[in-house]
Amino acid sequence: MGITLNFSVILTEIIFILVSSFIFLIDKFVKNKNYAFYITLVTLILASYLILFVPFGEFTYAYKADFYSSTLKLFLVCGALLISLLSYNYLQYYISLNSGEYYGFLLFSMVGAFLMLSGMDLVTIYLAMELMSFPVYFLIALNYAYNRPSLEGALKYFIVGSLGSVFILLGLGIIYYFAGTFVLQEIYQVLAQNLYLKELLIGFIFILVGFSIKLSLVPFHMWAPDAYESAPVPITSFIAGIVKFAVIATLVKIILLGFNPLKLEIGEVLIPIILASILIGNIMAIKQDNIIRMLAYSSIAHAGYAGLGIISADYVGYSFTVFYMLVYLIMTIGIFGVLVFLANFKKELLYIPNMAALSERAPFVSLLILILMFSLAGIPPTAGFIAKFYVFMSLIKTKYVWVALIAILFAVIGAYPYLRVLKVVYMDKQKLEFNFKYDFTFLIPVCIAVLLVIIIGIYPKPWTDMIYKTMYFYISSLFYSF
Amino acid sequence: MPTLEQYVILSIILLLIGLFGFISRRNLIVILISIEIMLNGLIILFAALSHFTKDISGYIIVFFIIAMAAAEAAIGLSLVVLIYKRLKTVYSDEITNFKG
Repeated sequence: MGITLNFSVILTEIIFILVSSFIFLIDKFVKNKNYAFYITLVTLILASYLILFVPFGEFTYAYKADFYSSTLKLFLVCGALLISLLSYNYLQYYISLNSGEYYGFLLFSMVGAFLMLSGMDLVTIYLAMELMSFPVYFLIALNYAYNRPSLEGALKYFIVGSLGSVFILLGLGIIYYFAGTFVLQEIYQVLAQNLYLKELLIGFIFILVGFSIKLSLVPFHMWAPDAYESAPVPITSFIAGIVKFAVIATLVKIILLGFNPLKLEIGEVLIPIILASILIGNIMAIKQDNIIRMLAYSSIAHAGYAGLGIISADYVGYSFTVFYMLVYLIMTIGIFGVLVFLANFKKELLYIPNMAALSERAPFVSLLILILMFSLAGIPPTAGFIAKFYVFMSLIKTKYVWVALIAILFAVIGAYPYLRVLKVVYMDKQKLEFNFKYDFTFLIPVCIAVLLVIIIGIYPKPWTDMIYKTMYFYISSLFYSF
Repeated sequence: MPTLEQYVILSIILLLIGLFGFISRRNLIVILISIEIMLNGLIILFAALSHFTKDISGYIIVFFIIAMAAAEAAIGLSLVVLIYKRLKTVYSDEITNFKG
């Protein structure tokens, strides 16, 4: 079996890199800066077409487009489409940010996420993760034109992220020392012979440190609120939604393909981290007045809920983890879309006490906030409830009832910050003056997100089944690999 | 001819020096240099492992790490220059705009 150089498989990534380089080249010479948005839109639609219709295959051993990665890439492209629409809307009001590089960096970051999802060895995954996070540092720092302290947020994210990359490399070194390889399936074969179990677990824990820095799990969460607050609002939804989705899907893939014999131990290692991140995320969210900081702490807690599926060490639980992150991606795009709307017309509205009596001034937007906040808090007819329900159910099935009980208790605390926003919006009285108009670029992404939240909440079965089936190929491939 | 253990010890010492500098120093440039020291320690680890096990993939990741470290240094330096221009400081304990 030789190495296959199948360029049609990586056509999406090649097109993304070419298009973003093209944008970087010609950006100086174009006066009307909205051109980059249209190029990005066409590229993303073309990418979704390519992902749907190009057959699966390998590009050397390092890259493999299969059912799992292609499905998740499709979700990512849809999310990026909605986020670029929101960015277009946001950049009409914040003109200094409106340059071609903004969209170019978005595309570069998407390339990183794609390579990460379909990488088959740890080196590719590591490099793709760096490619995914480097443009995000610039995108955060871009906001200094409007908010000078935003440089501090970018710097914090950069320093913590580079420390995380050092930890991942240390883990790779330990794995290479003992297993002698970086390829996931060969690591699985070493582990399946019961060799070096403890040493490779330590190596995996170092990798987990790097991943949990990107996921902002608790001991490594301090950068998250600052970076979220200092980024432009659409980029915040990019960091919270797409980056986290790609990272957690890759973590599940690494565990499934490479470290499968260790999955019980990995679950036990994760228990304190996950419980602490749910607790601290929910408690710190209570006292925040800036709604973006509140959502940053809530995103820490949500990454924790998604990690509960990994604790269960069960294939169904893993699929529920990815499902939770998908629901969280949709909710993030919706809620940050609403925040883009508020920030466009009155920036003070991003502070929760100033949002009083918003429901009288803008009833439709308040209704959207209501549905999305209910979904984030996990109240029944929405997707947030059903995702939490599945994750807790997978925990209870695998005899981790006490973890599920503690997490449910923390989730009760976590309902307060969201319901407080609703109380301020609907019940407080205050004079509120601001003028607004609805743009299509705001209405389309937010309405799609809200509709999806309700549809998934009422009828979740096809989505969870699809994600489980994509994973099923990995599970079946494990038994035939010898 | 040094043995593999000596190389591993050297790389661990470099890693600890970098980690200590990363934690204890307040100058942003020194923090960046500490990250580079840590990455260099890891490069020595991978190259030594690759040399002693006669396996090529360690050398390959060395080149990737060098390129990645260069990109990281570029990003870090550009951020620090921007911070020095706008916030007039390069000390990490003087940049305190966000709280809580």
